[in-house]
Amino acid sequence: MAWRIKLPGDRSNLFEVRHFFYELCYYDRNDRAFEDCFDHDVLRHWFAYARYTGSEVSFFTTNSGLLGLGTKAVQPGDIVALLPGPTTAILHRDERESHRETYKFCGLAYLPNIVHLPEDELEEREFVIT
Amino acid sequence: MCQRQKIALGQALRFTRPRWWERAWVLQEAVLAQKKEVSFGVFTVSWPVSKELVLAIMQSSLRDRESLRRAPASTPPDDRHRSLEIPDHQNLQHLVDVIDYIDRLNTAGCVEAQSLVDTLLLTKRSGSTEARDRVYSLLNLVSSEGSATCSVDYSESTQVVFGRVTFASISRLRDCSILGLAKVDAMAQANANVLGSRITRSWIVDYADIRGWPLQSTPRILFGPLRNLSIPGQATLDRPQSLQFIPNTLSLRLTGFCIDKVHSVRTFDTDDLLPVPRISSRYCSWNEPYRFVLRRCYDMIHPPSFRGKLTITASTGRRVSLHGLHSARDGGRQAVHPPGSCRWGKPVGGESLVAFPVAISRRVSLNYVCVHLVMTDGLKRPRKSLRRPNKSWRRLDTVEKTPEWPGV
Repeated sequence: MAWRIKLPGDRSNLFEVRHFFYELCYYDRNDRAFEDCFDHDVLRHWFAYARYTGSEVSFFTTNSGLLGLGTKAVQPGDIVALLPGPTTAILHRDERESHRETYKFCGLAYLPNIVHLPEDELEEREFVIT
Repeated sequence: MCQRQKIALGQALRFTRPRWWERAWVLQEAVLAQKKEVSFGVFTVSWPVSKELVLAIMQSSLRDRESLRRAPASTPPDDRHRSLEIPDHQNLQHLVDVIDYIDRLNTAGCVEAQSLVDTLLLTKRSGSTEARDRVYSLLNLVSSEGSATCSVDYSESTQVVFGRVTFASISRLRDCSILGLAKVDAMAQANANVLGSRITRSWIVDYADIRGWPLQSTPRILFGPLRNLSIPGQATLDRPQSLQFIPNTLSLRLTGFCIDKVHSVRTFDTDDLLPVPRISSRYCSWNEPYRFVLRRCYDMIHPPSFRGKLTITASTGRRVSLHGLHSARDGGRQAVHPPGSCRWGKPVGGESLVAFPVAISRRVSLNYVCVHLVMTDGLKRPRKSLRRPNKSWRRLDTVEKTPEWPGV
């Protein structure tokens, strides 16, 4: 018999998240503190969102070293796009349609350091989301 | 409070029951009728029902709830008393929203009172068997916008109708945050063809299965579970304006900024087989006279429940209790498990081993594990100060290495 040391309404998943975050930071040699990027409020919202979409929370880094929160549907190579409104979305390239470039919507993303992005360097593109 | 008043209060609460107000035809009646009068029990209230009245009813019901519960047993059982459940704050907010919505629609000057999506979210729990009716039943309520969005046409599939509505929201608000209501589960996408009735397109919101609630304040996300989360620094960016809905392929064409590509992803999965880091046996104590050595901390760790056995030597008549497990990562402060969880051991006799089966919910860093153990005299419960690890607890650095450490 296994005993589960857990209280009702515990927040242990948040602590696990921290662990995965550190692991990711280690790979990227990025030594930012966890609380600098994702405070408890953000994580709480994000867990609710992931549960709503029927998925789980995941962390990702982009090629330029940005850290972000996404859902389990995010894969390496996906595109982080700024869509109209306060929306950062993850778009997955649909390989099945090779004759045209279409994307699948893979959920919203939360990038805490997006404030520091230089606005004029962003690439404007047209997306067809199916 | 006399019997008549109780019954009246019960009827009043039944009137304010949110489930009733989420039905589409109630909204239709309330908006489109020429003369409105709401009767419930002995009350008759002419429209507009003020929000203050509803709040007053709720407050009085909260005040009288205890007195109602304490009604004598001789009171004849009355069905109406069963409806006296008190709606929580969220439901109350919903009711206020509905009344607010009806009032806004009734105001003559307010042409574009509410969007179609807001009305859809307002009636999200309406039990229409035909999914398209969720949209079609509301079109006359939001006639100016609704006719532009779509017309009643049962030859169109549910996907097309829902797609039009999603696109209408995006183009009206210039905001893609409604995509936060779209289901992105990979399994759901894969099973979409099997289920048939499910939405297959990734960006189209399934309005037959929404639980979000709109909140009108930019630059926050408007819909879904993220609606109260402020997004850092994105309101300043100029957004591109090109938006197009292609009905044949059910796709959304828009321009956006491409930030970057995803480099690496870490997810956590309960069924994942994980490498267990090297575990060193340490012990800690909050209580100077009693020291415990963890002989074998976690000999085997099996996901997903990660169960292990924790063994302690205890002497006669002592009672050992395990109060928490801590990873010593942040100087010992990080709690792997919330403090206060307690497993009582039985009083032991003789010099014997007390074994605590422990389980870790998921993967944690087990490089250094501190265990909060308290040993007391036989039947005595440990002092409260001992049960809770305070901030001044010390981790002892003396480590007794176990030579026969299991090969982890």
